[in-house]
Amino acid sequence: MAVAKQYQPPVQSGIGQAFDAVFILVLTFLALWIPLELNLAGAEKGDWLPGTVTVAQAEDGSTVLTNEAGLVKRIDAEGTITFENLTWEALGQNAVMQAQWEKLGLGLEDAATSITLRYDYSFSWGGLLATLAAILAYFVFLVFQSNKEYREVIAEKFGNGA
Amino acid sequence: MLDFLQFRGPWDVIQAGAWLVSLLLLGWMLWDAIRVSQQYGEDVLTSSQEGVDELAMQQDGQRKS
Amino acid sequence: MSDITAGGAKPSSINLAKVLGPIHVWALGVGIVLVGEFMGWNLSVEKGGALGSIIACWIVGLLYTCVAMIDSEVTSTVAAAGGQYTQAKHTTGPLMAFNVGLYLVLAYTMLEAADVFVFGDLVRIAAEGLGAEPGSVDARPFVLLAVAVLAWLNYRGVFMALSINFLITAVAFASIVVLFVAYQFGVGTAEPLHHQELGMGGLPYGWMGVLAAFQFAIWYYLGIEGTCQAAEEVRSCGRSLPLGTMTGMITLLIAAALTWYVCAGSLPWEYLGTALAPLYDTSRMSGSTFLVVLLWIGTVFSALASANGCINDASRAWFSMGRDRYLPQFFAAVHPRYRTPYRAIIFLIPIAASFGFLQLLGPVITFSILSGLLGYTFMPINMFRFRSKWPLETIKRGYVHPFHPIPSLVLVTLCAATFVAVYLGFGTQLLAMMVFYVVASVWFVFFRYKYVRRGDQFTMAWPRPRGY
Repeated sequence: MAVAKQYQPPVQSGIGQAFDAVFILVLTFLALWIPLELNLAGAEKGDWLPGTVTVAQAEDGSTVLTNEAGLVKRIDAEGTITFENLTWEALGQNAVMQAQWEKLGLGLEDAATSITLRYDYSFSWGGLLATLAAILAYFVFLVFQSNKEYREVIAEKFGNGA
Repeated sequence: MLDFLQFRGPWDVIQAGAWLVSLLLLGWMLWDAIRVSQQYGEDVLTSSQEGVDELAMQQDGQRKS
Repeated sequence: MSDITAGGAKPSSINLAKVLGPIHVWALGVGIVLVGEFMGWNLSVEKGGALGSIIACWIVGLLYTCVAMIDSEVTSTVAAAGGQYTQAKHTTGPLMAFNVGLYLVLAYTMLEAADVFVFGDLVRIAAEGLGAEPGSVDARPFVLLAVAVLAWLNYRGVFMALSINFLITAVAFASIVVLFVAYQFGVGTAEPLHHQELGMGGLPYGWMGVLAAFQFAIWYYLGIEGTCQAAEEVRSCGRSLPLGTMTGMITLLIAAALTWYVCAGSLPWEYLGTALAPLYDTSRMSGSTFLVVLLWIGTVFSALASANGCINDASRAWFSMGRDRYLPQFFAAVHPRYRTPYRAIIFLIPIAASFGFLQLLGPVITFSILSGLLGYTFMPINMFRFRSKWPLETIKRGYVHPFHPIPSLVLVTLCAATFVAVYLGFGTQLLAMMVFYVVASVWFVFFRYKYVRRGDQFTMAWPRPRGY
């Protein structure tokens, strides 16, 4: 190896500095907007009822969920939600829960809207493994490239040999 | 408790006040930053060094070798 | 050597002011994080139920304990603004450091945007509560006001900014304690807690929900590692920094436990999981006007303290990167009178304000959490390289953490689990945001690194690393 020379970086012009600052700024905005624009939404909750549920698709485009207690949640084509046979008991709420909902100023219908939505955590193994692999690859690239640059830093700081 | 606020008027005044105070503070910071840049050279302003503290100063001789 | 010479002569070197003590470190660390108890943590209840949330809180607490152990050891030898960024520069290399610096700036700036957004919303809610016509009050002037006042405070000097942070953080913490005492001992409210009756013992989603809850359990602690950013401004850093950080971590563990306890005991989990301000809602259940007002103040103060701390931390990281020319050197300027990185502070204002204005809370929070998590994933790499390049006997460490490879291995495992949780929650958004860091890295390698002085980046008085 040759004797390490002091690397002299070029001086960056004011315009160049401004450009670089704006570049990072634009990149940040894009990173936040692109997921929204592409509709890459995260997990969304689906309709749910306590107990065993049967789901039926009606002819008018509405979805009807029914559980064994007779509680019915109907979502029509416009997304309007209606309940039938709605009681606190059918929602699996005891007296204390009912009292707390009411103290919050929320009635049976409001509570039912919150309670009858649940996450679905089923996922594709392929997507998960691809994501984890992408993160791993990113870190491997970072460490590999950093190490190359690091050798140069150490050589200049401490000189070669030693 | 704060019954005198129960009409729309005061909140419009408070909002306008918030806009005004924000713009004044932001404007002052910009003005001050420009003034400082004119008074001092860029070399002086960007002269701070990493690792300048007691620990590093003790070992300064070693570092400079 | 860093003092301004008397007699009006131009100073030869302007450095950040070394004026902070342990209480400021505590205020910086707890101030940033405490807002997470007033809003945000409860999303983990939505993911896994009340019991799932507290289990996730403990496991993620273990993640942060590992982060704190590693941080303490490396920071006790690297005392410079920039914290983990400076650590990465010394142990791993420039590109890693650039990425870690970006994680810090974005995690804090996005958290700040979320804070001021919540502040604006709370003012709007209060205005409507006081009788303003619904929809007539605009939150935006208050969002801007919060950003402007806090940035101005930070601009005028770190001592005042963090002293105020100490006061408002203490008030916010006290409000949680008062709420707990009121409920637990029936002071000022006759309302009991009903953990059993509210179904606390069940896991509505099973253990999958507990895993998914990791994503937001991060909010119980996100930002405590930011105390390292103050290293260059703390007097006797080796003592104050660990003291402030450790007391901060203890405060957070207490606050998290109390918060979970009162909220889970009074709100149905389906409501709690989607509430904007769960502690405030809990106070409303008490029927005590005093508690409602106190918790409103606590929530507002915690949001302001967090935004204030974030301005401090993000600007220090941005400033440090400018000083090494990872970013334009323009940002490396220190104010000759106030001794603050004033250009970095000003530059970050429009970013925080514009994201506070936009209704982008979801992506903003995602970005903050993901950036934080990427930073924690770096910590084990940091630790392994630090120990192998400078084994214990080669440099004097202020603190040596015990059981060496175990905390790092636990941390890697927990980070991987949290990535799975974030994937469950955000799906492909996660990858879209990874693209940001990949593009930024490529830009750094090809267009930016040429402006960086090579040997000068290594500023610590350490011997040559082993194997290089």
